Amino acid sequence: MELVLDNWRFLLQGAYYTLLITVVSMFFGLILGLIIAIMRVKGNTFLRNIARFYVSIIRGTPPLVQIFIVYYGLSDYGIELPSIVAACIALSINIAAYIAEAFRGALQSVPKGQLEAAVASGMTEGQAMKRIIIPQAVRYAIPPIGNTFVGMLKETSLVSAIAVTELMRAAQLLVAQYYVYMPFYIMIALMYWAMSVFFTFILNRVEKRLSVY
Amino acid sequence: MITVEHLSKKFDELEVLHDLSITIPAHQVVAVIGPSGSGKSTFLRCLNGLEILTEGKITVGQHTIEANMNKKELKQMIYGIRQETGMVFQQFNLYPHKTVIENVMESLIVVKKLKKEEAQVRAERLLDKVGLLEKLDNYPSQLSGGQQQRVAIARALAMEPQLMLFDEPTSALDPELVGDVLRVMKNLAEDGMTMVIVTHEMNFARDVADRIVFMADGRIVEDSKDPKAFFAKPTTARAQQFIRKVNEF
Repeated sequence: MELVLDNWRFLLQGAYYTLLITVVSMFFGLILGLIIAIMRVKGNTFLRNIARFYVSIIRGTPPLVQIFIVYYGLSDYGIELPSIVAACIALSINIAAYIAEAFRGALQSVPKGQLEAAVASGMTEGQAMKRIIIPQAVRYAIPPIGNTFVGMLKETSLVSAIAVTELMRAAQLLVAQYYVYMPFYIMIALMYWAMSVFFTFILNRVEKRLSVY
Repeated sequence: MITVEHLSKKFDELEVLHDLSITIPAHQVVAVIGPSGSGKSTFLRCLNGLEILTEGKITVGQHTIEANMNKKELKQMIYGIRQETGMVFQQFNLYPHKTVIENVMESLIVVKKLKKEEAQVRAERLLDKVGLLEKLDNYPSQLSGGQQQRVAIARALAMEPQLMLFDEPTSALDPELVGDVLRVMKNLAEDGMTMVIVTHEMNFARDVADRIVFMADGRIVEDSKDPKAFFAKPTTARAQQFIRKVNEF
């Protein structure tokens, strides 16, 4: 326990990187995911197939392999990204596929009559999407996206494999230094748990705020 | 106002409208009646392009849609028709994430590019007209079905349409709420609005409509300019059978 307390600064720094990677990847993942979902629902055959292929390949391969492809794979072609940048890129690409699926489901669960009412009252389909369909879909999408977000938080532990000193790797380094496992791993487990609980709490608040009607 | 020539509509292989032709002058109130599956709603939805015709030609005001048009032209024409046509749906289709007044203001702001204040003034006037001024800050889910449908009528009227289409506007309502909606529609008819109403409310059709169009099996079977005479004694056997069934109980 003293070992943990002696190194709390190091662990906290690890937690900071875990959070940073989560938030940055989630941000870009959300944007990319929304674009892919709209391509999938409203695009022509070509765009639709691209979106479908993207989701299929990302969901069908292990995230660790994706991380290695971005970090090590690209270095074969002279693109040597800092490990934290590679981590964020790989996880953004990964998370976007899951967010796209959540958005797609949400877009399709907005009743057909909403689009009909909007275009019948003179809107273009684009205006109707922006003003009527997407705002409703976002509300439907919040619970599944919240789950994805918390999943993401835990998945960041994978990037310890490319030497990003986030929470997982911070613990591994301390283990290597002191030759004891349990206190450090228990400690980071608690820290991951605390962050998950915190995000779940925030998401529940957001969900409540948005479900006024 | 509306000219329909040789309209046919197929869903895949199933032909639901066969070679329909009709002319509806401005200010006429037309009630479209007939058994379920007769194509009434599909016909109405073809008029503002919610369904795309398979064959024929539809003219509404200055805009014409034809079966053989290219996609872009068709889109433009449908857009033009919708600018001067209001539609009221069986399921109301109010925007659940917007308040009553926001529902009415939405297209005024997005389509007509009105300033928020102007849109608000117009929306309030229309909500007053349908008797719901006191509900303007409520969400649709807080309203009864009849109130929601009156908001939907106000929303359609806000765009100052030349033509109003009603797709079974009272079919989803509890019986005691039907009257309020029909009263609003009757006022509208008396103001001279051109209206095409798909309905199962036979008494309303008889008392308010100028013309009854009876449809069965995707065809216009009977077209009567004298609703009272039609309901007393339809000319065609198919309409007689329908009216007899409706009056059975």
